[in-house]
Amino acid sequence: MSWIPVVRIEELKPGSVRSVELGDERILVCPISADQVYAVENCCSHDGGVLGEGRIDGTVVECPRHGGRFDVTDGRAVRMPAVASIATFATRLTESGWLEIDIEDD
Amino acid sequence: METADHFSSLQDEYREKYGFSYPEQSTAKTPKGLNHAIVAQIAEHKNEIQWMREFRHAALDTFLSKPIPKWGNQEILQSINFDDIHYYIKPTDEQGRSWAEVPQNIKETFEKLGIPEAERKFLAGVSAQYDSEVVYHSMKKKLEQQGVVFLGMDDGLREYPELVKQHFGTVIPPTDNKFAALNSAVWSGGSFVYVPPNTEVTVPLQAYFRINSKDMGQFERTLIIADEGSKVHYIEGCTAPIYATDSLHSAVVELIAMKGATIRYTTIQNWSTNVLNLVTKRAVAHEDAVVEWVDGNLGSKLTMKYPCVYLVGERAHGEVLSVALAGNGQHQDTGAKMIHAAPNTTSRIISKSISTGKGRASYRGLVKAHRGAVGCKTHVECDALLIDETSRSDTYPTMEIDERQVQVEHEARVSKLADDQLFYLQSRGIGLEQAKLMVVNGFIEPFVRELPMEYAVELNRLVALEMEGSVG
Amino acid sequence: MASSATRLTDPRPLPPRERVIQLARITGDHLPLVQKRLEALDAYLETPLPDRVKHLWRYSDPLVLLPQHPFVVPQPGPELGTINRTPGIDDVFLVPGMRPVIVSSDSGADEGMTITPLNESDEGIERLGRAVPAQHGLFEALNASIWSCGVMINVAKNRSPSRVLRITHLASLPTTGTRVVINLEPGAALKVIEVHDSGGAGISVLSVSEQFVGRNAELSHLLIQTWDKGTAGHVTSRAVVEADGRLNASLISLGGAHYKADVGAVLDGVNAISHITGMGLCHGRQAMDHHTFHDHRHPHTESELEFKVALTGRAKSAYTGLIRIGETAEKSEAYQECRNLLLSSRAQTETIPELEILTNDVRCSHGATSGPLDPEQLFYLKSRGISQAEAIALMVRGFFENAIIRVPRQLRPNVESTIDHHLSRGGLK
Repeated sequence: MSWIPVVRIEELKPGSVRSVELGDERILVCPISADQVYAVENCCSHDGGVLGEGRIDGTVVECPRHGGRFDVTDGRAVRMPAVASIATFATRLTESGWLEIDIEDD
Repeated sequence: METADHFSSLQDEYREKYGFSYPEQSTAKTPKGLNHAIVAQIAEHKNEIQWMREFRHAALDTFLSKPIPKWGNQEILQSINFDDIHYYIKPTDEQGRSWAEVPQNIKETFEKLGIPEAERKFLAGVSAQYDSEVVYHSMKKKLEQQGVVFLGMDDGLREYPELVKQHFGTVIPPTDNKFAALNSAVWSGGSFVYVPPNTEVTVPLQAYFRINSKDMGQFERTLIIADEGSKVHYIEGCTAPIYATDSLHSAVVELIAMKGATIRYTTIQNWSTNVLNLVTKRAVAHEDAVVEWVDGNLGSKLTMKYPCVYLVGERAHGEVLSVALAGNGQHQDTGAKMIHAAPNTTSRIISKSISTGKGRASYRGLVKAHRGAVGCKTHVECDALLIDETSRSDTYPTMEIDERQVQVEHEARVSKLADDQLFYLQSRGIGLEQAKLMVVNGFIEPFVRELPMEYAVELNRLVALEMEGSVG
Repeated sequence: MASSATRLTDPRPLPPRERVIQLARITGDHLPLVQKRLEALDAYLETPLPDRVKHLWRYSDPLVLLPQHPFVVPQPGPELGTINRTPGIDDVFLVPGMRPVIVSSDSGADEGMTITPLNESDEGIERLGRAVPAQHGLFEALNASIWSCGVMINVAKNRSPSRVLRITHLASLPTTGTRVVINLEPGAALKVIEVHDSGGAGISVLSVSEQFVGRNAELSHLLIQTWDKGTAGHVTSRAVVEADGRLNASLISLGGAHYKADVGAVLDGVNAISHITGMGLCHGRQAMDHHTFHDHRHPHTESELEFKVALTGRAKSAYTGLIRIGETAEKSEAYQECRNLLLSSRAQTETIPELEILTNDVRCSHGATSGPLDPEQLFYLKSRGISQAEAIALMVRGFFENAIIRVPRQLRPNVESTIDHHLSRGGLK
């Protein structure tokens, strides 16, 4: 487990997602509000493609390809054709203004 | 009877029975092409509630933004001219309430379809479709008493708006694929079925579909909800007159089997050889639920259809049993999908195809085991029979396995008509053509025996007719 | 990354065409080869990135496999150190940017086998691209324009060298482009092993091997990939088997971070036969993507394929195997079997065994299975006092038995110890 800074907080805009790559890990950073930021695997469990710059509505992100939807707070699939959850990552905001993500070590 | 005579009499019967077309008697018809104005016009004709209008318009945007699939028969798919199709035709002003009120020419259509008088009375509910609208609908008293809802989709939306809203488009959202989006924007007709908890519908629910306007597209929408512990068998049969130009058929069928429910959905399709039949059929099976697709595909120029079951509850079971017959110049691109998303779910796919002349039968399938679907088991069997030197068979199965504790098996075989079987039958004095037909009938027998009697008889006749071209 | 390479020259931003000409000048190519390179370059520049929607690329990202800077001209590096001769084996080392290093016994030529640097062999240049043309795909086109070390092997009519030929591709540059042409004249026989070795993070391999199996000839071909951690690469291998010829191919895939292999045979004459046996062992976050193709073009041809993959950790394997029986290949037979062994709950496998059958008088079948180790067998071994880890290793070795048995005797201990090494890296031993 290690906390890795990924993006400056001022670069995040609530309601608009941002994809980052950390090593082999593709991550989707989802700012819900100014102080609530979630991070999920940037990979649709339906077909393995990236969720990419898909839309986010409340806490639900929609896959741009087939419309599968996931709740980013817990990774749950909430609309077909997606049925399996996606992984979530713990996040924290540091005093120095970074968003950090907790990544499992290999 | 001589074999040749036998075939020609069948052929006559076939022409008489299916190869005809009455003049259109449409009172409302949208111009060719597709845009928001057309979609608004369709919704207006139907006087639809607001959320469905919004759903249609959003789906149209999705349709316009999605490319044609890059897989499958590109030659045909890329040649579809979406601007050259009428998306809505309303055949009569009034919804027929009783048999007496059904217009005479539509009654004649049923005559030609060969629904026996006795059967009409006996059938649990006949939802027959003439062009885009359900015009005749009868429900047996017993169904009403049981609380079973069996309506045209438009009526279902009017009478059960909340129930429809809760489930419509949840199994197949418009974003799923281009043709599902198209259907979502312009759908018309189809069936709505709701079976209350712990209710068994003992008689199969049947619907007859029919295309009957030149260059007419048909976009039925069917939603079947089997509540907890209920059981229902739904049958659709299709026949179509022969037209000169392509006719697009793009249905969406959504099935929801709640905890412990069983749904069987049987289709026997025999489209005329100009029809493009691009259909999305998908079911969700919750805990201990069973969903079975029994799917027979004949005719059409191109059929693309892969009935799917999402097994989302523990111990749910999915099954697809299908037969495809690709006659000369036809492409049957069919298959099945099983998505295992819960522990101890099981599935079975049995697919049989026959290609004759220059026919092409492709099996395309997907078996997926999500992580956490421990103890799931799936078995896939594809058998292809090639009748002529120029016949073609493809097999494109995909297995995506993200879980260790699974048992996944897939087998496929391709063969020609067995010489030894033919030789044996001929040695018993059976003519070659008849022998071939007997071998083919034996090949599809596991499928045919799952059909209700009248469908089994009809299927055997159709197979004989299709075979005639290659064995005659 | 390219910046970490030490043997790069010429930082001038030349267009690809100039770079390819410069490369050809350095390697001393004759005109026909330069022409082939430039034609391939045109094909490369015209070919779009593979479409991820199409199944062959659904599970691999072409950008992960493509070299970052394919048009960097390699400069000859330091000489290889002392090479230990292995008894019974002739060695060829392919090092990008260098003339191939040939370590051959004197008897090689006596036995009818000639080994020539590919760009110095007229026959080799003439055959180059006949089995794998630049139009095969983006990676093949790129390879055909920038390969910088290649070898041509020829075995004379009716000769069958007793020695095994080993060709080692050393992945040592950010763009490692190697090329092999093997020609068996009628009635000849050869055992050849291509080893893809070395590598590391930032190194991309592009390799193409073409094999021509003449009438009544027999080729045993083993393709073994043992790259170091972090290596990415794409290897294409095609055999064209003429009438009464026979290919016995095997495929052992063990190393690297991202590997895509496209292996196959064209059965190009009556009674041609191809048997392919493959195995992949993936661990950690390795991703392997294998494609096999049996292309039946003539009557009475026969193919058999068995492919097995075992996965641990978060490894991913994709396998697509196509059998095509053409309109003119009546009375052919084709069989294919694919098995996946899942040893961890986070491993993923994708399997697509495909058939395209265009005539009716054939026999054809395929089967595929995925699942865990048989718990009963495991229980039995453990009841005999064997530890869980050793029991699993034993069962995995058993699973791969058919592939290992195809390795020539002289090299089997070597291959077995490499497999053991990878088993232990995957935590299985």
